[in-house]
Amino acid sequence: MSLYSLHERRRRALGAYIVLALVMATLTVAFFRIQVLGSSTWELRAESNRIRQLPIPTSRGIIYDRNGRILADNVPGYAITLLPGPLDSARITLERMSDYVEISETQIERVVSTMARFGREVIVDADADFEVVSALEERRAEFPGLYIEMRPRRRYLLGEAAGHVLGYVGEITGEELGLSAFPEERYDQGMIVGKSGIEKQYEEVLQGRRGLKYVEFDARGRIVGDFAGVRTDPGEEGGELRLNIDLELQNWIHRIFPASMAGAVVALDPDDGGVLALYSAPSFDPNEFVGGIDQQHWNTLNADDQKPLFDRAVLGLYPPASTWKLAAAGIALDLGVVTPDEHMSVPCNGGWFFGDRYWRCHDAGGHGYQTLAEAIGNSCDVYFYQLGLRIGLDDMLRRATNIGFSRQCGVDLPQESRGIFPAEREWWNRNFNYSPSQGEVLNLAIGQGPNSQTPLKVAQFYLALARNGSAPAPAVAQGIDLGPSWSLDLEPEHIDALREGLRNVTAPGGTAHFGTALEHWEVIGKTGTGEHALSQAELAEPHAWFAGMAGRPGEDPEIVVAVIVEYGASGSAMAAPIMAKTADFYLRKKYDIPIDSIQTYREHLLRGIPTPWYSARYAAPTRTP
Amino acid sequence: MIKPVDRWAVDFKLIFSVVGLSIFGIAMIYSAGAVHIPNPVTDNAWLRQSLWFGLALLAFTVLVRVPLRWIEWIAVPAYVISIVLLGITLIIGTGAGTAVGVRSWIDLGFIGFQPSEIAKLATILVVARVLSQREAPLTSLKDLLVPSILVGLPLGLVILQPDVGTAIAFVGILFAMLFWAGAPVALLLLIASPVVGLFLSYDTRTWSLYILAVIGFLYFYRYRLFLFESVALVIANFVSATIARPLWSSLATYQQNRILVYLDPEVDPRGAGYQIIQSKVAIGSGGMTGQGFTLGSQKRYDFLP
Repeated sequence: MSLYSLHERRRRALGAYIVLALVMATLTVAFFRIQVLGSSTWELRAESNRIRQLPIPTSRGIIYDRNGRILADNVPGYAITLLPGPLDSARITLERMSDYVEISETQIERVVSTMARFGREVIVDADADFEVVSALEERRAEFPGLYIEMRPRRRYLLGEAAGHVLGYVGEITGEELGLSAFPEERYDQGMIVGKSGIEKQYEEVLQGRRGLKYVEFDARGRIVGDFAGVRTDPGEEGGELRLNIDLELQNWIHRIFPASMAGAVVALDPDDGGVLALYSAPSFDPNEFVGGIDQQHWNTLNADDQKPLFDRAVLGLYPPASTWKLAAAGIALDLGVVTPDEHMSVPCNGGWFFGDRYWRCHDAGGHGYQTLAEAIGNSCDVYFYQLGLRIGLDDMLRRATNIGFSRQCGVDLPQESRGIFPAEREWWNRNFNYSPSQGEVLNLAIGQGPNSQTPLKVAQFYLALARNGSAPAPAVAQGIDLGPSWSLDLEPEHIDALREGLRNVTAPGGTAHFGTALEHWEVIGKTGTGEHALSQAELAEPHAWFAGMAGRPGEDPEIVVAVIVEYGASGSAMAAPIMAKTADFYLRKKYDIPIDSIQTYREHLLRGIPTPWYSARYAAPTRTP
Repeated sequence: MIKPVDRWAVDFKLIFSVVGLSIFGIAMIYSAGAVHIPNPVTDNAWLRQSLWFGLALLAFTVLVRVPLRWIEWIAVPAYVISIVLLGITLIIGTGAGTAVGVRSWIDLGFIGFQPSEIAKLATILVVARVLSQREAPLTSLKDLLVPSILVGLPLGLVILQPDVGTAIAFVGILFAMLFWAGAPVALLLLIASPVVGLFLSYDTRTWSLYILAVIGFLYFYRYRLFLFESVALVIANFVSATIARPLWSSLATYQQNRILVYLDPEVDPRGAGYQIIQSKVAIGSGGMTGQGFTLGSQKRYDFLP
């Protein structure tokens, strides 16, 4: 076989020809398959490649207060969005963008991985400043894939004053997208949803339906034009929400609550149990959370010893202390173990021997013989120790549990602590590994011992006292049904007896008289001094309570308020004036009386302002000592 | 003395295909420049391409008139120079365009070129020269040693750049030339067998069947090969199968991706698979009659660079 024989040459050429022909045939078949047979799928893909659906964010529903004033609305905002494209170029764009927008290396990775996962536009900055947006817009060509989206930005007009109750909004997380609360057909990544408070509770109402527009893009995400083929869907705005909250009252409480102190104020409407104000101090400004809170600020909020993010009004559990004596008294009256007019067998001499220890009254001077109302007025511990013994531990546990001191109020907020109250003796065995002695009932009767309640629960209890003995679940929003009322099962005359006791607290000579006496209104209520582990060790002051109600003198109460000031030491000096000032503001507004910041009798006295109204009302003693 | 008529004995079929393909190419580049948003790179690319085409036609007319002996003579120096240039490229080479990581260009300031392109031509010339000087036909592996070394040298240098695409072109050159020089087809297939085995080794059963087929082939072919050649081929097959996994893990991620995407572009539609998918979209969206010259949507909207 010669290398150059014609025959061999021809054979080789033929071989090469056949190989090339096979290659060309394969290519032809492949092209035919893609171009002609698969044409419809690829054509569709070409279309969807350049015509992209872009969501149109719609406004979140406006939140109004009970008088139609706006608590939360929306202002125009800008979101910097990156459209999907090759991941490498997306990363490069983001790195270039970091000269103008604050984006960290980890955020860049987050955006890129979200894009890889969803293959959709990803929000880089949900709330960009106008200057940043215009700087980027000017250099548009440098940022392929950049899309500036107009999106309504949430605004909370009360700021810190209503941070906890309203809550805040933020971008939906991957976790949330998997929850049934965020159904797939309504929610998509990049959307803004309620994260806490009312915003979370009523997410379904407030969230609108996002619209869709169709835009033609080139591969680098530069807008070529609107696509006329499909109609733009403008979406629907979120529904409005009207709350029972009184904006001005909420703001007023924020103003008068002692700065640097922690605590909570709950104001309820005795008519329907509506929440007039729900305040927790210290607070935070929900506006800071809109569009993503910056890490530094978040860390500061979390590191703060006073825990500003913690909603004390519905989550804080405190020993209810003397405010709970009314519950003990109510149980005793209902069981018939005491009548309103009888005296306990042992008068108060500042303390009482029971078992093998001496049980102190808060007043070492003693209160002598007292009726129930007098004992409430004096907050006499010795009287209530004996009252507790008359009820007995088992009945105390059963009745207090039955009327709901270990349940939630059922308020329409995403989170609420349930009260702590033992349902049976077994509770001590489980938690402390000992059987309770009869003496435990002495502690429970004065609101100490294993009894922790939220300020909202205490307010709800006083709401029942302000009404006919039953209290509906406090509702923040209007027009909702939160289920059956909470009933104390008290006879009307028993309620009158209890209120008589509350009146003694604020009457001349009562512990809270000076801080609660008001020109136009009558305040009745109960102070409390919540001892806790630190105060018992004398390392800190006890918590200061005041819970009560106010209205026109001699008429039914028109507002119920519970106040707690952590480490506030004195219920009468610290908490009671806050309650009185809250009630005064609300009632003056209701009856069109000009608001004055000098409200209580004590404030008048301290400033030397004459008080003819006081002399007129209290000239004759209303109560015989 | 060359007769005048020989001078014009040009292969019209060849000229027709070359010129036709070039003009078609320019037309496509022109079409590619018609995008919605102007881009300085593609804007006048078709003009530049036409200019180069004109220059190439000129060079072509000159080259067909050059005596064959000159070309034979220039083969060795051209080969040596291109090897030297490839060596220099490894030191001062730069990347360009989309392949910034590959140092395959020599930049002279006013113009840049890829020495590997010159090396391709020079290698063809020098291998042609070596093969044509042979007296006996190519029959054994030993006969293929010299051409393999001649191709292997530039190939190795190109791999170091690293420009695997061009390196594969060198393999193609070697096989095409051996084929045309009359090397037994079976022998060529056997040489290629370890590479095929490399890809089949992902599955033990497939590879086992494959190695049995290779051994059977060697058995039928036993009188045409030396025993050591058969043994070497079998060993080569086993070695390639053994190193397959370590070789795979030693590849850079982007290299692994290219192979994976070749098998299924949808595994990474926005990364390595992007080009293939968008190309398929471009072809597929044409349908029977196409979208029309300069009107392709994939290109107009810049999905394909």
